[in-house]
Amino acid sequence: MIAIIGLLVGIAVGIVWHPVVPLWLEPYLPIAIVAALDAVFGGFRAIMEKRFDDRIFVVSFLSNVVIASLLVFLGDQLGVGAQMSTGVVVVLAMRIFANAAAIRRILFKA
Amino acid sequence: MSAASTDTREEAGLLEGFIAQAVVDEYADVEPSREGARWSAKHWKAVPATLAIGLLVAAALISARASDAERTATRDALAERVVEQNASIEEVRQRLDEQALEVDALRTSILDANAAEADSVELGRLTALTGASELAGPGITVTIDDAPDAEAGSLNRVLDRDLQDIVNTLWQMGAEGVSVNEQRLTGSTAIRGAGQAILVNYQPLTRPYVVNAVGTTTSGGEDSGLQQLLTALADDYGLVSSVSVGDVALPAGEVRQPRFAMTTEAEGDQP
Repeated sequence: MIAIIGLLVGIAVGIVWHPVVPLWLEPYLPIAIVAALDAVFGGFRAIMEKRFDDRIFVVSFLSNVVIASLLVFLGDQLGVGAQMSTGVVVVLAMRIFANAAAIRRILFKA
Repeated sequence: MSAASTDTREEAGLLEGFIAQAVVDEYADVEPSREGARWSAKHWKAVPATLAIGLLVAAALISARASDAERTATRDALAERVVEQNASIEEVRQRLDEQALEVDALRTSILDANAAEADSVELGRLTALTGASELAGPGITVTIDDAPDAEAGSLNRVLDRDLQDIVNTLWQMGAEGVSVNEQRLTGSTAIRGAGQAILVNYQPLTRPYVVNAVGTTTSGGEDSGLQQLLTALADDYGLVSSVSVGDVALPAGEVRQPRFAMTTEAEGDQP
């Protein structure tokens, strides 16, 4: 519950504060969000399975975002930025689906 | 046969292994605890992380919205500039027309001053035929339009070659000057299609297309080439057309100086 409230407060603060995203960072924002979503779903699943750990959540969130952005940055530098972001998004989406499936199994027993 | 099946099995194995590695559970090492519901007090470190995620989402939303607004502003500015430039083109074109008239008047007065009456008449005849001067007189008007149910890209629309056929037929019937939608045809005029539009003198035309011709005072009757052409266009493509006989006025066209032609007698006078 507190996680969802944190998420909503974060969005509200962001909309009020109006952060200006530097131009060089803009291409990595969508990737970073997908990576963060992966951490969120992983954490949610862990809560469902009653083995959530805040340290792992924070570390997985930060490392996911940083590594995904770095991969896409590297891809950009090598001239395969579009393919690299496709690959990153595919893997992260796969993880999100797997976690969502686990959550679904626990919630609905199906 | 067996090699192929081994290949597919290996491929499936590769994909399975890839998926298994990709979706490895981050919390695999954590033991399940008994007190599942009361995690909030213990797991306070997760709160700033969720805040950061929310912030990230908001930032992405805002930047996406901002770039949208920027794109709209850029497009509007470009559209405005197009309108402005078109207006200035029109202005320059008008000035060109005025100055061409001035040049005509000056030339006429010089020729008159030299009492070369015959030259003046000859010049008048030639400028009328080449399309350099305005021309008015008895003639016919052919109006043609797309089929009423024509869709974009279909053949039931007036094409550049339809107009070319009509204009060529009018020349055959003895027209001395022809204009299409107030664009006078000269020796260097092309009637051509560009995408969905028809260009005459590089000016895009809008339907319906009105072809005026001075010098032919008859529509030629039922069996004439013009009627046959229009009937064929109506039968095959449903194009709507009408022909009327009467006085028509043609605007002057732009006649460029010939760049390579030289008179053989006065060789050396011109570069």
